[in-house]
Amino acid sequence: MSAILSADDLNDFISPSVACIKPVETLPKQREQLPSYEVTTEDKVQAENPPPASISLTDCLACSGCVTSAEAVLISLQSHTEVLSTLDAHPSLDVRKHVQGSSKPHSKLFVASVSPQVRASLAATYQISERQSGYMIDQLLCGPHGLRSGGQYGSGFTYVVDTNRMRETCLVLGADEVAQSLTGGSTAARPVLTSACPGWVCYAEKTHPHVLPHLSKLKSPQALTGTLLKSVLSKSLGIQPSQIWHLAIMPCFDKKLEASREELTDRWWANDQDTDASTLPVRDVDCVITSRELLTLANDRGINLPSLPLTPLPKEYRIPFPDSTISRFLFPKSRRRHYEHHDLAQSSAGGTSGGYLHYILTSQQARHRGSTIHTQRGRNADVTEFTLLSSTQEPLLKCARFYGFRNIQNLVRRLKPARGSRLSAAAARRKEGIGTRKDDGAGEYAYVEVMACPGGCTNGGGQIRVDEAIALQSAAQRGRELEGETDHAGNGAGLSQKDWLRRVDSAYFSAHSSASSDAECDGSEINSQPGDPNDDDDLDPDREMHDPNFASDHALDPPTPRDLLTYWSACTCIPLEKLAYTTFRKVESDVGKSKKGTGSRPGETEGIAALAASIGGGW
Amino acid sequence: MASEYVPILSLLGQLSSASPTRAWQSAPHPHLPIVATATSDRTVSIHSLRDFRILSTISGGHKRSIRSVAWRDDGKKGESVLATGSFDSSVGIWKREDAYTKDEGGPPGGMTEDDLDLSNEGFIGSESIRSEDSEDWQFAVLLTGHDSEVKCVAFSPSNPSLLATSSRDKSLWIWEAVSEEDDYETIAVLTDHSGDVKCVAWHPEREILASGSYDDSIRLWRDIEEEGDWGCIGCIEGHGGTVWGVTWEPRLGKASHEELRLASCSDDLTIRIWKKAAPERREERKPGALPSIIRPPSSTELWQQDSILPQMHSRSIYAIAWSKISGRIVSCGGDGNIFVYKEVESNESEEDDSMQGTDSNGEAPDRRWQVVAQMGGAHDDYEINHVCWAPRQDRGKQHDDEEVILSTGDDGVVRVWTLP
Repeated sequence: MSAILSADDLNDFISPSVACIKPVETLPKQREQLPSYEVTTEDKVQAENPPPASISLTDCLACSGCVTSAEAVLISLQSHTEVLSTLDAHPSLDVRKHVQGSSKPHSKLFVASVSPQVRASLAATYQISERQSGYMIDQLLCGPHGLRSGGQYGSGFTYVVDTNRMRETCLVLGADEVAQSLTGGSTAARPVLTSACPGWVCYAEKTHPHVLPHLSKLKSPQALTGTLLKSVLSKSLGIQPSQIWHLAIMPCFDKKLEASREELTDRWWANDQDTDASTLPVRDVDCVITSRELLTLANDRGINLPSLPLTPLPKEYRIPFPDSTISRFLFPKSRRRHYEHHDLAQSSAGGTSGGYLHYILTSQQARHRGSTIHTQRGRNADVTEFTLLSSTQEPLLKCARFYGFRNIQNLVRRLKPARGSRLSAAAARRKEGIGTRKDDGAGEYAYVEVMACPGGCTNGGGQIRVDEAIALQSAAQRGRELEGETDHAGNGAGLSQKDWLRRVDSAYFSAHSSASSDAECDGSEINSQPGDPNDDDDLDPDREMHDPNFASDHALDPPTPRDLLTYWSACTCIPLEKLAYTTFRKVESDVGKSKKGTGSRPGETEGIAALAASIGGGW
Repeated sequence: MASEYVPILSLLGQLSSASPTRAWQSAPHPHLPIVATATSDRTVSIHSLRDFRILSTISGGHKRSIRSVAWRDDGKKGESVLATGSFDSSVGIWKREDAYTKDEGGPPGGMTEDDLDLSNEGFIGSESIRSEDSEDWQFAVLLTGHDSEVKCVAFSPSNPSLLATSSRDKSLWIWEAVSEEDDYETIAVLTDHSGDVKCVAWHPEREILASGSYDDSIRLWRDIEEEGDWGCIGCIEGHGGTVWGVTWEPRLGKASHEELRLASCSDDLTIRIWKKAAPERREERKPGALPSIIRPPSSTELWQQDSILPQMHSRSIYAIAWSKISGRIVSCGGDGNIFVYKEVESNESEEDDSMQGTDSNGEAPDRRWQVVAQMGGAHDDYEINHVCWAPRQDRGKQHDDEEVILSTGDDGVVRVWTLP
């Protein structure tokens, strides 16, 4: 009788700690004493007095078992408390008073980037416009009534950047990448798959390495914004990237994983002479928090978000960006002149996830006179197929959207190379027959926009949920009733999660229509971008000091995405290849496999895995 | 209850495989007189239910224990489709042309008296079906996606192109066969359970799925708006331990408008019957009270306990089955015992509290469950992992509605029992 083996503890899911393949490593403290080519064995390291060891998120990326279960680790390493403690520990670096080399090494330049889906989530929650929710975030991060009102040094953020700005460059480069893959001019395998969704990338790296050659080599807007801010600000202010602290506010928890990728640190782009090999790599994005955590952040500082002014920042809080060309790109004065791409990024045709596919399709459409886009819904609302038809209705190009884990399953299965090893001979023959019959489908797509969340990024895991929004709304309503107002409009009571998502989506898409309508009343105060330092006609004289181009450049039209990229590469002396592109790698889980080479660690995990296997894994 | 005489089951036969290792679960074929058994030696044994001989051993597809098997019943003759769920995290789909159909004139199901004569030429006795012929089983598809051991697989009886699989990775996947191709697409990945999903069961008539889990709950699932988005429509909490098995009530004599009940068995040593609660009228808002701001979406179903079966087992109850023929329930578990329960009118037998299941709400006091048969140590000292009902098909069969119980044990054998 094996009843003793069916004890409860064996029925449980093996806890991540048991299967964790990333041992707590102790890094050699005095690295410079070791010749760089010496292989450091664990024995040797331990012989020295080891510094306290810790597992970082970067470590956890290497392991397949933990990431999904290690939310506690995630949240403790990149969380709203991390934001507050960093603000408390460091005074803000004052860019206006900063002279190269003068600032206290202790001070930090706090910068933030905000995704449009976060603004949509806040807009739906507080029943304000997407624009106003941008102001709300600016006021919280930079304004006098926001984070600056508390903390040891009264630190706040100096710049808040909309990730839509760098998304425009992503769209342009992404369309180039697909165009090249179509003409065979690139190494990217067809179809090209979106790589901006970190949940999807992480899953592909761990579970389906065969799709990695298909992933777009482009950085995500978050990563690209990080690289831009760190490279440009450190160069133009003459400070170390580590002195810049970059917070990203995202709809998605997995963006925390992306931010901790070692590919997305200054090691990958900084010129060798500028980097000090003895220091640790500096992340392009130091911390990611989600929409929901933004609420907690405000709450922890005792800030009532709806009571913040829903207006642009006061003049004295709009700090000029040290590089005027990049400034005009990041903080365009008028939406009209700048928003041709923005339209695509945040329009309903572009979808909820940044509009990659839509931009690629429309740029291909522009190459074929008279062509039209045919849309076909798939098995569920999260699968859509797009066909570009020539004027004679010949299909020219096929693209598709696959959102959500269940649909991703079908995509990766279709991209899987034929396999025979586990099939019996008879079945293998059968399979062959199928293989020769027709192309299996996924290969015929030129591009697939893949997002891990059903409904796309507006429905990210970090967005404010319907129950939370309703609680906030009814609290606000009670407040209004106490003040004698009777306003029952738009109360979310009885909303289902689906209805709620529709509201967030419409807030997201409303940015597009309001941008269009702005075009008709250009010039009014309301057109100023939140935190836009250039909004001010009374130009800051300091700026000329930092920007040699300023005097000769009076045309304040923002640069196009291509011009921006060229300029960025030139002014930082870093090739675009290093700035805008990244790589993906197969992540191998060692669980249950013998670890050749490391040797010194006896197979503790194997032992446990074997035990679990021998008892049938607890059924 | 010791004083109460409960008749015992009679052993009719034993299905053994060549290398007896732990056997997990058995599934009788929907039409043919055969049964498939999942075993921990990574194989599936196919036995005849007529003479209990082994017919085939399906092997070579899985790297670890096969935990669960299920037949696809699309009413189509000529081909049998079997799904296997394994601890290697994958699900296999196997196919075999039915030699049976080559024999003209054989009635569907092969279950009539006349058909017994065919037992030597028909499916079972056919020369083409010997154990060495297991190559006839073709491994058609390998379904990967689960992150951990697959615990249960089930084809929907109402839509045989739907396959549900559950896993220790706490998820439940629904797959749909794509047209005539040997391919399946994932149509849902359901992750609401917070523990190992031990079992799944499809509603016999509708595309509704029930699942039981290590998190002690039962969940119900369906394509809520029929737009391809599956979601949880109900969560039944009430068991105080792992829910090892769930099974739907067969329609039997029940009127078509009546909702079918659900039975579940658990580590808490109970077997409970659940019924869907009548849709509640929204309670009136009391004056001065705040409105209830989070209404359950209209798709949410409320289920309540209908009854609890007499508590007989002394260890975890691993499986139950609800007979489509007699409406009786059979259970088995870690204590090595098998019990058979029957729902009776309350006045059918004398009041005996120790044997009587209790009604939770007192609404239907005229029915209760009582134990009508039992078998202690049915696999000697071994645990019994599974029980199910099957139509009796051996030569000793007396009448059409006669049924047998198949029990599957840690000793690697399947025993066939007749009822008293």
